[in-house]
Amino acid sequence: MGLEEQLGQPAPITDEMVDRTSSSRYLSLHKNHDGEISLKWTPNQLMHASSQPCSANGKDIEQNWKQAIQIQMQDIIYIHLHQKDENYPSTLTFVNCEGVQSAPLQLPAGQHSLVFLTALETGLAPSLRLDPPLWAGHGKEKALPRLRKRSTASPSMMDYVFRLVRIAGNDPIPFDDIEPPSPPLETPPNTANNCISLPNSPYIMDTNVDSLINMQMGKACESMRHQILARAFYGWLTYCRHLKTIRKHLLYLVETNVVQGEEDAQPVDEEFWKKCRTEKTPELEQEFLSRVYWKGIEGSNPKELRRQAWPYLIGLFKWDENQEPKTGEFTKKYRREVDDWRVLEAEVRKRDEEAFIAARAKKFSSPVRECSIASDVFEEDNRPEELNKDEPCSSEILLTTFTTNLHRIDKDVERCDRNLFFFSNKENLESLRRVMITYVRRNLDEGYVQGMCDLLAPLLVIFEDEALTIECFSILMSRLRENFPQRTGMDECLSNLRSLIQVIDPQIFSLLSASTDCTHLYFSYRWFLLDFKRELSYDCTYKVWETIWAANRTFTPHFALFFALAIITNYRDVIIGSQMDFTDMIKFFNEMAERHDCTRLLQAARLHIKALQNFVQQLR
Amino acid sequence: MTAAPYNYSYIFKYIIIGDMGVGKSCLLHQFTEKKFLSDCPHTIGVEFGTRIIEVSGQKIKLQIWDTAGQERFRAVTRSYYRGAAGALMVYDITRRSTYNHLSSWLTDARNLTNPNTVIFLIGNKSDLEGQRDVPYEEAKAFADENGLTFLECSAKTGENVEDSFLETARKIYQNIMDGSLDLNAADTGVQPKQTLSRNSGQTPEKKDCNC
Repeated sequence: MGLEEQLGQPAPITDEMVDRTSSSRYLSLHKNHDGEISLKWTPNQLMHASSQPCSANGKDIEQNWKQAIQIQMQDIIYIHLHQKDENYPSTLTFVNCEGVQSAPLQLPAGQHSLVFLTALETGLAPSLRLDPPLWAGHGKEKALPRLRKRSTASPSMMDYVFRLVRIAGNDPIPFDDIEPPSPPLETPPNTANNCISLPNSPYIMDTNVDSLINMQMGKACESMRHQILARAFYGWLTYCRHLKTIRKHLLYLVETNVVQGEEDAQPVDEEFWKKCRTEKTPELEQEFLSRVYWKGIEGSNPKELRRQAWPYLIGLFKWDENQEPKTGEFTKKYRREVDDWRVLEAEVRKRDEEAFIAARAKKFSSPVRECSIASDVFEEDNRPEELNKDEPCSSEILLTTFTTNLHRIDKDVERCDRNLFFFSNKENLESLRRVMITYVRRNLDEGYVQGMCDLLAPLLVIFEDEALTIECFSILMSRLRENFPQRTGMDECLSNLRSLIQVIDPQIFSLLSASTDCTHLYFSYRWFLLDFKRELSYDCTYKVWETIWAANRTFTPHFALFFALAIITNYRDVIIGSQMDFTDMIKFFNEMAERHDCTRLLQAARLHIKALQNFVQQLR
Repeated sequence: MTAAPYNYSYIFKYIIIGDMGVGKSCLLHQFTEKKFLSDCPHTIGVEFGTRIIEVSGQKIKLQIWDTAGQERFRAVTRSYYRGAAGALMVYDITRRSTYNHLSSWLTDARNLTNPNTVIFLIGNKSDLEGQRDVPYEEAKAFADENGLTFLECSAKTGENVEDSFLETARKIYQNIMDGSLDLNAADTGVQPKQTLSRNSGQTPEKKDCNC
């Protein structure tokens, strides 16, 4: 078989390619009975030699075979592919379990690397797969995963890293399509490896017995037929999955009909706000939202401006109504509520003291240890003992629940943002505690959940008015509550973020997919729970929050998702460069807390929204 | 980060668990930074600390996962138990309720880690002797009953903090040496240096590609 014939025209599924460089070599893939794939990179002379009848110089050939490069794909973890474009040669490197990498294999210009990877992907199935998988292109051909264009650093060079991933629950299945050749025949040294590649492969041609040739040809053709079908099927499956991802998760994330490219908008300042409050037109409301979304609230006294504008932005007040009559009602209601729980609080304090004194007395009288450790009660730990005997009365239950929550609030308020000047003042901390208790008393079934203090604190800092704070906080919680434990919002956020990364930055996605844990994206758990409050400084939190609120009423109720995406893509080079795994990511983002450039991230998030809007529009 | 040269032989994964406000994050901070953070904010989800220590002449990198304490977050924190070589279970000696919940934490720790995971009981805030609500003897008896090593510590003064983390590492190391901890088994929480495996979720520390 003439090797040169294959040079320019590799058949769509051919497994063999020949290098055009000075030391031309022959690349082939082999699958043995155990389903193990090996790669051979053999000098052409050796190939020519081996296609001769091998009875005479069999030993020499055997010697030569030992010198050829052979790589067991089972030992390989990564495959690197570097390719400028199809007009340039590409380089393949294999990295094994020990981190040792093979000498680079140079493939000639053209689609050889793709053809090779396609063949490899098919051969690896069902026990191993390439990660990221090859994409199914428009025709029947496979395509390399799309790389995100990078503006910097060698824009023309495409670098792919494929990871070989074992498919869970799939023990290597022996390749039984082809029977081992009948025993005592003169066969080349590697007949143990049945070649699945091509019927015109030298190893099959080498066998001298006609019947065996026919049998092997038949089997090989059968095997090819299966492979072609399988490949077509998997290509179709990948394509459908991709479409499904977009349709299912991303279509509804953004509004496409209100693309207002008002990047030249001005921020909301005192003058504009004054105009808004005098004229109160719906047009001004739209402009207000748009300005906040694009540029935020700025002015000579941004805190005062926010104090006035936020209740409208959050939706506490309607655009055309004044704050005045309502704020009075809020204050009255709030005061009543505080007076109400003060009674409960006094009772709790009394019982706590009694319990402490009793415990001390017990300790000094009898050192016998209690057996209360067997208790498995968790949430209702302060339940008085008599409740177990009698039917609990509702006021006791109320007091018990209130006590548990009060203790938790006390624990967390005490340590909430104490490094902030505002909360170094005990009065303000007490104020935070009052609002928190009042809120939890209002929503006792929901109870206090860690994280609430974080969300409440910035509002209190801006408003410095407990009644106004609790009303705005209640509105904020009605949305964020969904992301708190035991609800479904967090899972939705994480899964949407995952889909977004998949579509917007496949390279990061493949890195995340490389470690199974990472696909849960738990490093972003805190982001969504607290609307990034722990990730940002207070000033940035204000900016990001008001953008989220403005977006909520204009482009998308999912701005937080795009901001999360912006955080990830902003650090993509660091993440990819150091091949971060799950633990690295958690550590990295914890360390980056309060150090992000929020203006830049906001800008990126808005661009991501635009990108998705365009994407979705095209799809429609 | 991971680009640092490997100067350790093993990575041990730890988790710190216990009720809210018992001082888990402060213990971690005291151990990694040798400082007391008086108003350490409560942990949301998990946080993370590392320190390289030495046991029997071997350098070991401790990878310590600090978890949220509130019951509501247990569904999230439980996912971090898997593959922990050591679990530090913390209660507050001045609050009996935090001690009473230990059985529940222990059940989780036993169910969600492997049988070789070393569980260490810490009674924190030993500096607040005047407010003590759980006698040392009582906790010691509980620890003995359940086969746990026990120390009272103070994240504030640093007393016994170092010992708790180191003693846990020694026990893990001992388990490796006497063969009771099989390094090839899944989820042991011990990772020998530079071992890459396909499915452990670990990527190579640094991938140099000079091709």
